[in-house]
Amino acid sequence: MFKRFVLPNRNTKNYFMKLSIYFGLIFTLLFTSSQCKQVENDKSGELLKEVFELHDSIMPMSESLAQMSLELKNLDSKNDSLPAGMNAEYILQTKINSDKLYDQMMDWMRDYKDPTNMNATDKINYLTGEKNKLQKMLQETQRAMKESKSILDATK
Amino acid sequence: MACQSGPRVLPILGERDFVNGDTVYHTIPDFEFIDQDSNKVTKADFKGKIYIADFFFTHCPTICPKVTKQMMRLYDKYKSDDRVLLLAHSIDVRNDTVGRLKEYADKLEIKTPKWRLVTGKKEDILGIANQYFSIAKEDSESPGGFDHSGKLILTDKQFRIRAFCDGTDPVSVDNFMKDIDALLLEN
Repeated sequence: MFKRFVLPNRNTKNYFMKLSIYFGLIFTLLFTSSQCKQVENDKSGELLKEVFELHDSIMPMSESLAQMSLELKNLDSKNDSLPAGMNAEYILQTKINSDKLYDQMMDWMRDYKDPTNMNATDKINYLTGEKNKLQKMLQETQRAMKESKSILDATK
Repeated sequence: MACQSGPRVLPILGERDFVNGDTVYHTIPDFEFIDQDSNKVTKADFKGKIYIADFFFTHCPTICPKVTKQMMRLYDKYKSDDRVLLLAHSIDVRNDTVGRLKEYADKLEIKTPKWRLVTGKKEDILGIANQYFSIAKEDSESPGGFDHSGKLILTDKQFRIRAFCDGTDPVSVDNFMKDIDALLLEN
């Protein structure tokens, strides 16, 4: 009788082994899940930072672009000192493009949603989309600024 | 004999001309905008006052909330001082309608005439921004010059610019408050 309680028989050993495996699996799943969540949180935190950095670099450029657009509007397109290729049509298109990019930035800010309450996957997808939008906007804004500046410099 | 220091006098910033022996300083020109209560706002509303101007967008997620927080400090500090006003211009004339400005003002619990949030024609807002920031451009460290995001400008009773600061930086605003106090003493 003593042996029965102290020394587990084969069935008891199997039972405890299975129990250990089940608990091991559960802990592994929980641990992996929390690690994944941590990785997702880190990723979304990083993306949020990138989105805001892009926004902060585009915003002052948008304002510069808007100012240059005003100057382009006031430009005398019959200016004889304009180099070849910078006719009234080109100036007008540059101005329209600048205005469009400025409005795009304003609309982006208006439409931007705070992702705090989104689940991790949605947050990453949303912020990745916004980052891509802003990267494209940054390139286009830089190009428009260069074009506007070249016209304005040519007329000074 | 000991030297006595008088009250601090702020410089008058911006370009200046000399006309018939007199110095003519850069001043803010006439303007006409609409505030959050749908009132027309002109220079007449600031006659005899000093005021702090800034430029913002209600939807800006980063820089503007920081600046608004610092403007709130100024609003709270000078709330009962009739000599000081605040004037915030929205540069997003499409989305920052009078209704949107009203909603924003109500959320901040700010009232006119102390703190006006204004909108108007885009070219008028940008034009006046150029007038305020022409002085900041000269001092700006940013290449290409027009980075005025977050700056606060102090204007005197003659609409001359006397100081500016980085509205996103609480320490810069602490020093700006000393400039405001110095200007109040001067007047």
